[in-house]
Amino acid sequence: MVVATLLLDASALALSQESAPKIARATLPAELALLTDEEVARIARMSPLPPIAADATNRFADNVEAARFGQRLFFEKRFSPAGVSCATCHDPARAFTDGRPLAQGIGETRRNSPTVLDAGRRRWLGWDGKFDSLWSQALSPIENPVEMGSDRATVLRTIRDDAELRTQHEAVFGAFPSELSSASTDPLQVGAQRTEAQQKVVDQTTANVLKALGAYQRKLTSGEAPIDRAVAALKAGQAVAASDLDSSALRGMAIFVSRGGCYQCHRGPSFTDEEFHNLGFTGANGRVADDPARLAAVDFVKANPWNAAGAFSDAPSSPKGQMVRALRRSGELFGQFRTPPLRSVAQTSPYMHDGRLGTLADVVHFYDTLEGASPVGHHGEAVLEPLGLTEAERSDLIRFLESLSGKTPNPEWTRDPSSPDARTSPAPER
Amino acid sequence: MKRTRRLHCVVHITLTVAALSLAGCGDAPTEQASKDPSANGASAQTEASSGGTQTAAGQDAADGSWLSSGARTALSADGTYRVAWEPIGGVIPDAEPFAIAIEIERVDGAPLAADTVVLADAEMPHHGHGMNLIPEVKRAPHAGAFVAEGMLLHMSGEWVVAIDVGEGGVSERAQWILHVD
Repeated sequence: MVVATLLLDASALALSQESAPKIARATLPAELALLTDEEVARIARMSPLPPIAADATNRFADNVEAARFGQRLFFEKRFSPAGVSCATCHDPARAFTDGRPLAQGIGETRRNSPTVLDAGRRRWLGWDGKFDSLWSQALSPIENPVEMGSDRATVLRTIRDDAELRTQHEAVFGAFPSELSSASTDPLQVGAQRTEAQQKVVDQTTANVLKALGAYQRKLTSGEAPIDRAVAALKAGQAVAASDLDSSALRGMAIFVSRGGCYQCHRGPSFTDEEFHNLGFTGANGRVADDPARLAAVDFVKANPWNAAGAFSDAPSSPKGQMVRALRRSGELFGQFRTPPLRSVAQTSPYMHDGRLGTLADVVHFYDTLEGASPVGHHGEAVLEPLGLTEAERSDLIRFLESLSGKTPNPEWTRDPSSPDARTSPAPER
Repeated sequence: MKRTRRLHCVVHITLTVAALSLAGCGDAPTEQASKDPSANGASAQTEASSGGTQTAAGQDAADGSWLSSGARTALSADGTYRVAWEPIGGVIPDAEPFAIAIEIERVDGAPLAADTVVLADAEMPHHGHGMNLIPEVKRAPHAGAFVAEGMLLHMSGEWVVAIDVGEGGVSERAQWILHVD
């Protein structure tokens, strides 16, 4: 350890050269003046939010007609016997969450509804990262008995038998498969016995439907937020407008990138490392975590035939497919959940994988005190330690977190296109 | 590792990136961009070898090799191998997968065995965890050259990057300490 320390000191020059901030120290506001160059560089990396990366596994990912079809499907209630749609748990009026601690479909699930805003940026989907693409994720809530309680045949039958949906489907994917349209023995009826060939067509057609849902959700991006304008001003050597980040928010920003330690996981313009961590939340036994979370999810995603490396992927040899194959399975994954992005965080309460923390004040209180978390093992570094913030500092941190929310850029993508109002409104712009 | 091989190797790296790189590795930044982490989203890094010689910034560490002058170089634990590596594309991206180019030579000048086994990995010893991906190491068409895909340093803090070289059932490790921010 001593050797390591000495060698790190020896390379300090290289660090200072590499981390030269894009934000000039001379023009930093007083609230940020005591930050180190490394901490200032963290602020510079908070913005801008880059364009959503291409998804090679979905060849319809950026097809506007597919997105429009997916938008129609997102709000469709007829797929579920209980009238549950995607929008039930991902309500546009609540920043595409449902505002509940635990998602409520046909029944109550075990997880909080994450926002769909910016979901196209996520490396893994779901709190445990059980899915590796936006499109493949969509099958799970459709067929989960406590969410929509449906099945792929019901979805396809609904599309086939509705003139409007079928037209939209065919505009993107071509004629609806004739194998699924037999009048004598409907292969899409509940309980229908399907041949292997018919099942293949069902699955491939389902994959297309899922990819339309994926294309739609890629349109749901958060817009420019106060943090973006503030970072742009700092990079330009200009004063930060108080209407973007006031003095309290700037102090909160300083805590975020320094002694708050938030930046360790909530990094970059999305404020997430896109990976998984165990915060030490205890399970029902009150002592240790009892949800396998990422550990079970790694097994699932590697075996999932709908994954990026699978037969329904449009690029099984793509980097994403390679990444799925390279996932490491180890016991340390037990209890780990995805680092949630913080864009739009003020609009997406309650928080954590099980919605156990109701407000941003509760979240800051948790990190300040670690109440409700089991202690870190004695072999490990205490990555999370009580911060001991003052009441004013807690308020500052919350104020900063509130600056991360922007308006949804195109409201046309957030409406139910089948609603009477929508039918008289212009179509979403391209 | 002869200097006369350098031009050949630059071409080879380009081909390797196109053929093998994982997401985020394919866009080779310019030399200027590679030294400016805030310009391309890359995290700041400092480094130290914990097992051998250290590469000083700007020094031609991998003299004449297929790697650039900024390659990190170290001797393996028992001094049998000189191991060098660098991220393909020039920088380690911030919480994104990347690939590394590796060059290994025996200090005694003998060629590497055809069945040499090379493993690449990284861990955060103070956090008690490593990477979430298992890198895949492939031979590159060049003496002593390998490419490891699927490296991902997802947290800020101190990482130890390790490259194990195995011949005849005996393995030796070269390792480096990196501070990622």
